[in-house]
Amino acid sequence: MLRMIRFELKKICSDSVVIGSIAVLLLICFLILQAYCFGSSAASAITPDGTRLSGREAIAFHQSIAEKYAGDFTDDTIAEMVSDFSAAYPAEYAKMTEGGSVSSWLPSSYLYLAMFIPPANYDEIAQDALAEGTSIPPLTEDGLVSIRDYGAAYADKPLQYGYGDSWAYFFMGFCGQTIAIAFPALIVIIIAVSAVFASEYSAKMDALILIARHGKNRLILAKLLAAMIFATGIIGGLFILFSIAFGLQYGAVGWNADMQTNLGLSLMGVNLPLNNLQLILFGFGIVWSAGIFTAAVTAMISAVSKTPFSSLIVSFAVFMAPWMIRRLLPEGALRDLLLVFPANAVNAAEVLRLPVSAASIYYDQPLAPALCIAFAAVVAVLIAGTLAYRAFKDHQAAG
Amino acid sequence: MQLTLDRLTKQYGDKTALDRIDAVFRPGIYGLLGANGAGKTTLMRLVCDILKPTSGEVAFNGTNIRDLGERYRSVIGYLPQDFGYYPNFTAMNFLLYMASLKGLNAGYAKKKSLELLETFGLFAVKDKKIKTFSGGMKRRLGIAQTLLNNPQILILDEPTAGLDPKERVKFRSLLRSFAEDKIVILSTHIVTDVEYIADEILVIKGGTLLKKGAESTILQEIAGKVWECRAAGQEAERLETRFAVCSRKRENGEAVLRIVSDEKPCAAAVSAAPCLEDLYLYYFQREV
Repeated sequence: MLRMIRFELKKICSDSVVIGSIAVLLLICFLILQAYCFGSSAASAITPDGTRLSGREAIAFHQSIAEKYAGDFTDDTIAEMVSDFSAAYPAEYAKMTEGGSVSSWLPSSYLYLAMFIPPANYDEIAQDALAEGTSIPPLTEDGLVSIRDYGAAYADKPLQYGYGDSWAYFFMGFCGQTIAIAFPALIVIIIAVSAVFASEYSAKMDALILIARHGKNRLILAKLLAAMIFATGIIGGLFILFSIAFGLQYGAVGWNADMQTNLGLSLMGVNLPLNNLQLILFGFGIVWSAGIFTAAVTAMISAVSKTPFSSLIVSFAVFMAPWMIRRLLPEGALRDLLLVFPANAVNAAEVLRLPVSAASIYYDQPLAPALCIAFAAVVAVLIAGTLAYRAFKDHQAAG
Repeated sequence: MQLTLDRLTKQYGDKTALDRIDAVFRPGIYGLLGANGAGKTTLMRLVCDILKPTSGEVAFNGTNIRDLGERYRSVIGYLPQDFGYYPNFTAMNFLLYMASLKGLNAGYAKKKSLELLETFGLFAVKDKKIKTFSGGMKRRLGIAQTLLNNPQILILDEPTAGLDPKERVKFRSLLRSFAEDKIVILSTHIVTDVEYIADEILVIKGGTLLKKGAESTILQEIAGKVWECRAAGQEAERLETRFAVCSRKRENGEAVLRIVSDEKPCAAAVSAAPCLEDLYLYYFQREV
């Protein structure tokens, strides 16, 4: 069986179209890493005296500021950060309080403080709300918006703060949005796996295979496993590439800070106790599930297609359909359910945020979307695998 | 060892590709003769269990091959009429791949592959990619893979297509030495190949089995129907238009024609001893 899997992988990897698509994927990966890892605002900084830093120096500066506040993330910590920010960068602080845009070169710990600084007319807003019979949360003793108002739900123990830029960029570049590396990775999986069975028909190798002792049983399993291994290899390979790039550029500082305190990710309201390291592993898990789902369904389509090209076209259409349908649908149960399909699932940030929305069927069930995605992947592997098995086994090699 | 075809029928929609074929194969070499579309390839694929019969069955030692499944597939070797190989595989890798499908262990597979590459004159190019091979080399590699599992039943669809005369002679002698105690069924358009190596010949036409028997027995069917005659100019042209002409050569300004016909084609015609090509033409003159 291992020899058969090895040969099937060799067949997949020696296809020039697959090699080309992997090359394009690596190019996209390089561009994403350039934007998120090496050329991000985290690699540029401005000190209180106006000195501009870049590269490792800038990263070290951002990290040193963040480490000052490492530990419990409370309203007091925010007050301290706001105080330090106003003292170190008074001009930028003034812009922030006025609602203007601030320099992206500021220490990242200060960049998102605007969410805790109430607008100048806060009292007026509070009175209007009262007049309308509603209320808005009171400010803290320091006159700031409390972190409790952002729905940081497991408040029984304080969230942990730490440096989070690198983790946020890793997550965003890998799977935190639609335009991340995970999406093209799935397309490469489709390109590769779409030929797994169909190429045997078009190359007229089906007769030779089906006559062989293991041609109608173990080989089919070997092909399916090779498709899964390829999918895992692509996603795992990209994850390792990202890990190396981010590890070399930023180190592992801040790995144990809670993802909710990584303010750039807007995950404050997510009621899931994950730190930054667990967050990117969670993202990897989601993308891997999507990859396995994609590989299984594509293999099934390949088994019932006559040529790799027709298999590729149908597989791509099947892959994209839930993505396009979801964009056309208004918020509702069907839209939420479509999240389990790979093209939607790879946006791991949405997978995390969806249970925060009261309108979602996943509301207040933080793990539900992820579990649904994993369950859908298992079901897809079982059903698509069985159908592919039957289709190839019963294929009539008419010549 | 016995392979039995019992009222074997295959239909594609309204078209009957094979119609109630009955035959028994025991160890020996069997040659299938038939024009394109006669049903030879369909018959071979049914025997290989890669096509499902519409009705009837193929039985190996009394058991339906569909029930035998893997046990049957492990004793059979098959060379399709044409197949694509894997252009990026080397000859050695291709054989090792086929060996893994046939369930041979890694050590034996390597030893047997090297042995077959040597036998078929491909040892020197064993590490070359198949896409660099000529048609004849690919065909030899295809034949080599059929022998990996030392099959008891060998099905060869046009095995000599693309081989040069020297390779064909070598192949025939190899097949003869291999066929001891085995059932070999081969189809070819090269009638002389069948003539030289087949113990029995099956003539298939329009999906039905017309004849099955030893060459000498089958040729009796057309005894007295093969003629040689000399004719000149327009008379030769008239004969060629009216009768099935096997061959035409020129001697002393006249055409010497070999004709297959139930009736004597001309007064000067003399009866000739029939050969397999005559038989082929006799049955398939409308198809060729």
